[in-house]
Amino acid sequence: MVEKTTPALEFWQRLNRNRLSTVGLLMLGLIFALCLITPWLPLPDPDVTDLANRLKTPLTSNHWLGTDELGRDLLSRLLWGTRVSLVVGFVATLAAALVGSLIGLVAGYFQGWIDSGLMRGVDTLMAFPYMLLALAIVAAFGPGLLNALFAIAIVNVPFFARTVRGATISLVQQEFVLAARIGGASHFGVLGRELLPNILPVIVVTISTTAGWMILETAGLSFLGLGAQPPTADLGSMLGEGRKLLFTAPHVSTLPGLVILILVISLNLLGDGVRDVLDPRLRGGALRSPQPRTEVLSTELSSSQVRSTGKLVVRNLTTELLQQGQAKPLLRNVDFELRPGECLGLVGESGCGKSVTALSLAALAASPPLQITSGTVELDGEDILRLPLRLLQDIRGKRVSYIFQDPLATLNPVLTIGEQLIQVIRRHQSLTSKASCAEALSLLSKVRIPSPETRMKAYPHQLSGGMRQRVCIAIALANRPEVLIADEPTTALDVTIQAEVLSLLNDLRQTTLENSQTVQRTGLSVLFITHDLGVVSTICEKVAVMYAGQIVEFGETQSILESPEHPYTQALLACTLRLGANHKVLGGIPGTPPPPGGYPSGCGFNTRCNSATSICQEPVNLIQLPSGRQVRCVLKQDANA
Amino acid sequence: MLRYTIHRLLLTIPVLVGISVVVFLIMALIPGDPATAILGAFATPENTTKLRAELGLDRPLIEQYFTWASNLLSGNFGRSYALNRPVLDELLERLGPTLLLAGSAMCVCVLLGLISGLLAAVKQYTWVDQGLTLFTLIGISAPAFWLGLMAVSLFTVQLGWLPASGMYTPYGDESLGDLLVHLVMPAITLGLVASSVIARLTRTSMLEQLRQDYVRTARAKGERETAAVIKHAFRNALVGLIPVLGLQAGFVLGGAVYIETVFQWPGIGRMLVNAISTRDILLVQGGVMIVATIYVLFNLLADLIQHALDPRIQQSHG
Amino acid sequence: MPEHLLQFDRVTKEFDLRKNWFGKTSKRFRAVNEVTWQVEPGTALGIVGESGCGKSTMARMAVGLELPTSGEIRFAEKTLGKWLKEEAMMLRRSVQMVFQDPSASLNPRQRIREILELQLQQLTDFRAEQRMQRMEEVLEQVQLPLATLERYPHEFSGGQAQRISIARALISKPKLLLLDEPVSALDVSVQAQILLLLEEMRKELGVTYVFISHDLAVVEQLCPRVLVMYAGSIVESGPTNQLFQQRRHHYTDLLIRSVPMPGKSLELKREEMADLKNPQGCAFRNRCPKANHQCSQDPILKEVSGSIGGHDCACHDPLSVAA
Ligand SMILES: Nc1ncnc2c1ncn2[C@@H]1O[C@H](COP(=O)(O)OP(=O)(O)OP(=O)(O)O)[C@@H](O)[C@H]1O
Ligand code: SF4
Ligand code: SF4
Ligand SMILES: [Mg+2]
Repeated sequence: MVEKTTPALEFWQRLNRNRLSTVGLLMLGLIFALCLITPWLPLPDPDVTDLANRLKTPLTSNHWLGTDELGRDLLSRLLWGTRVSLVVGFVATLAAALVGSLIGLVAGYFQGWIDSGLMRGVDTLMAFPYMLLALAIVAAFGPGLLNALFAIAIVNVPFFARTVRGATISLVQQEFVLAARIGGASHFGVLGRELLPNILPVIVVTISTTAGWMILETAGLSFLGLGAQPPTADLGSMLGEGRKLLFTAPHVSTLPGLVILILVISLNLLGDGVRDVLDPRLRGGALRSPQPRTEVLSTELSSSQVRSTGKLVVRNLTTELLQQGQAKPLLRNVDFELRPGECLGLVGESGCGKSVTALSLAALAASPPLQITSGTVELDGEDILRLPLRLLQDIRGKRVSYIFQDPLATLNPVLTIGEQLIQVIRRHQSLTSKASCAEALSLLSKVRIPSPETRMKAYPHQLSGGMRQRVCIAIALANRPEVLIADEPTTALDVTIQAEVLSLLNDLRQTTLENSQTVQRTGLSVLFITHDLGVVSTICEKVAVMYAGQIVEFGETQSILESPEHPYTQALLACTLRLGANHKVLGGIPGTPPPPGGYPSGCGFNTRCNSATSICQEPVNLIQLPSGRQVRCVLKQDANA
Repeated sequence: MLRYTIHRLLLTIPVLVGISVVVFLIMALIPGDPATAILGAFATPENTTKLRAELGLDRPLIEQYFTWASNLLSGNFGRSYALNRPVLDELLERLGPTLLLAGSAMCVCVLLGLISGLLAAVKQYTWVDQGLTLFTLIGISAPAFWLGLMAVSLFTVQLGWLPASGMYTPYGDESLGDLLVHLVMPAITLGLVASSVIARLTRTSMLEQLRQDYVRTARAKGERETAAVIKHAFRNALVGLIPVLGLQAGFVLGGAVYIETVFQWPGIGRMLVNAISTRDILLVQGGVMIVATIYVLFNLLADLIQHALDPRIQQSHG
Repeated sequence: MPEHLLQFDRVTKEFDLRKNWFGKTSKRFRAVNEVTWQVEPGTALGIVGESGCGKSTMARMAVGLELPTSGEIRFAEKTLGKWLKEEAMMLRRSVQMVFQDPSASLNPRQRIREILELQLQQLTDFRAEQRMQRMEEVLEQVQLPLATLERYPHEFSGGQAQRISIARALISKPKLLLLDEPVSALDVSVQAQILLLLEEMRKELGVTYVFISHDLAVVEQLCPRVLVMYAGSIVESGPTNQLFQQRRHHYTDLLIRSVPMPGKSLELKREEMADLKNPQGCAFRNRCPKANHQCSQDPILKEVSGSIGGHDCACHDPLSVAA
């Protein structure tokens, strides 16, 4: 793969994809061009008064846009005024950016007393209402364009300083900066080579969002008579002069305002585009936010096939990622069944589509950009993917519930544990608030949280990781679900805590089984997702191995771990480390798992498989071996045939 | 909470000291002799000597500051020679109108900003969103004073609905109704402009929150969409927006300078502009000091509200 | 050759959690608590423990990214911080580090060539062609093609990026390499590749490793000796096999019993969740089945009776040797 894109080129391409910012850029270019050629345009001198032609309305001969109180040509004054405003605005922006960024960079990098000293000063400036500080500075130095510029620049320094300091602080702890320091880079080297290039985008974004402001502010000072002094034409002062004539000659004040508006709008349009391209945090703002349910394309009718004994039956599930007009498959015809009371493990390496599978089951996969293009998910024989939203919402959290990987991110940070638990209880059961509170308490003790009464009032960040995950489990079990989907619930936890949580989950599952009369039918079914084969063998009866969006092997946990049939499962087991096994692992699987959209055609594993042959380029089906094991590999097809 | 409030109140003291130093420096920075500059047209030798002694201009800068600051604390803001009255009297008279204008503008700003931002985010990329986006784009790009002028030319000149200037009709009965009629245009103009920033930030922040894991959790719990959006996403977005609202108070107080000028509103802003033109430095100092203090208090309030809303900072402050 | 390449001597590191109004510290967190250990040249020492137990802080002190609050760290018998200016470059060259997150440890705005070459410029006085030669050499060692040099970091997968990080660390021919969870962010299939590479490099180049991981099995692969840390203190140390098979400390025991493995189902005992605090005495007290009144005194790390090859444990009532 030859990558010809340099960062700069990529920036322009992405910027131009945003049509509005292109418009802004064009408008700005036009204004710039006009200002540049103004001296050579056949226009009257902007400062020459001609009292005979006072207050001409626009479109009079010789004066396209009319004249002002002193008979000066408005078009000419507007163009010259724009020049002044632009120059002042940009010089002020650059000055503020330079000084502010320097302060921010130094404060953020050195921290300690240098930081506190610099930031105390900055904070003091920030404690003034913006405009007021500018006024105060002008008051000291006296009205005038240069003083106004100076005032505006100073007022904006804190803004740059704060933003750049924040960005610097988050970068300083980044590993590449640490690596450079360990590599012997001097302070200057770290600042110049590691930090600055990575902070530049932040500075550019800040410039692009403040430039418009600065122009407005300079215009404002001139409007008040504190900036440009007569006879200099400046958009703000023209407006100020026109104000007195609002009742008689409104165009004198309307026009300069319009020009400011157009100028600043184009700056802001461009700025928005630049920000969307450069600021990764805001890039989300340009993306569409996920809808309440995943978009489901085809209208497949529920199973025409034989009724299955499965609690949750997944057939042909295909989920795609829509990116830049391209549909990249993430899941390809995923098929499996979850029996009542069974715990099924779904394993595979990062990016193989485990989470997408989990989320697709209750149409929770982020949509856009994901969409389910075919397949059904049947809960007791009813396709839930195509239910109306309200009915689907009645199933979520009641009959099918979820536990996710990162318990800190999945809990709402500003609500207490109790509030979040009670919420889900009352959503699905009509209980009084007192009864639901008691229910929440009993759930918390069921997941073995010590002193549940006090924990009810705690916020998520006040609990340890293991405790948070217990809360998530309590939330998931609150309405006695039939199916529990757990997406790597223990991956973020320390191994001793993981063992506790696994044992808890296992116990909770067993108790549900014991409590029910008809054991097989009503037990809690669990889909347990993990990348750790050890965890699987701890709590799953069955396991499905996933690779590149497909299930490649399915069967009893014990037997798969003892005698894997698929080459991928074999290789994966071979490179899984076992504590105390006293054997050295030899090398892993060559290459890396394919990225989404880059799944090879035919067998997904054919780029890394030792036994791959030319027939592996053709699609391979999941076939059932006599042992009951299901395998997706041509080698086994032959054996079976 | 009480401990935090006290802690936070104490923290405003150094900020106020910092502000007073900056305000003091304004006088120190004046090129030439401050006394002459301050007195301007009233600079008789006699006046100059008196003022010099009053300000202690012959003493070191530090000492001057302490004299000045202790005067401030005892309510002595000096005397405006141009107006021929104590600065404090003038300030107190004009404080009310400014607070009224800024307060009502703030209400407009908060309500309008939050609601339209929320709406735009939820209806992302529909005509509602695009309309609001265009509207707020104009809001952040148009000079507030120009919008004021345009409003006057529409509602006063063309339609004749609203009065163009002042707080009350001259020689009128100064009734509440009269006040409101005069307040509508300036407050809405100022609030509208200020709300654009809030609306845009609310939209971005909401979009960011909507893709957080806990919103997905809310959906996985079967919450209705309105609940997921309001109870979960918006609640969290609000936590981040409160300090911005505090900052926006600064924008409103600063913007009041223009709006008071445009609408001839008898507040501190207009007084400041006049004072700067006449180089009435003591009046400027007093005005800036008062408005900055109001702003600091506003930020204090925002901080306390945020503190009450966000459990995470509660812990880090203890 | 010095007897110990790297030595920690009663090293403590405290972080300021909160500062009061006057910038004075009002609350502290002790991340590393009076630890003493050393590593001999040419070996590999593993450090294991749960997240937040102070493993990374130790590594960062060893490379000079943090200064210890008290105690001494010695490299080649010479205290860090007491090196003369001329020797400082030698020290930098000799001690290098590899980080956990492969994508975060390469500057996104530099080509690989710049990243490697900068390191050489700063650490050696090689001329341009010598630098080129060294870069080629080290890329070959980590099994990456030469074309790698002209690429930007985002063009590489996690495993490849980690190879580049290793190349950068090795390029100055260091004597000691600190590896802070170098394979934790990788898939198992790639993790095994990197572990094999690290093992080969050590044999080939004779570098000494200090290998930090939360994963016991990974440490077992590479390190003949291991330290177990809990809440900032070393609770047990010794030869890896012996320590895993005849563990004496209750935390080590819990740790090992908690590791799930394919084919072995965990004996999932119903364990009560304890409130984690940082009490006086043995930090593991509130989770320990054998906690008793003595445990409110700090246990001392001392040699286990009848051990071979230096097996130490800090516990008042250690496990008896498993039969
Ligand atoms: N909302 C999304 N937008 C774009 N790509 C996505 C989205 N969700 C998932 N993907 C892509 O789909 C692929 C499969 O992702 P998935 O999260 O299911 O993997 P996984 O098996 O759960 O991996 P992990 O072990 O890392 O959790 C990944 O490559 C991921 O980048
Ligand atoms: S189908 Fe071919 S490439 Fe795929 S696993 Fe089987 S042998 Fe390997
Ligand atoms: S010192 Fe006491 S509490 Fe700590 S591990 Fe030993 S027996 Fe348990
Ligand atoms: Mg996942």
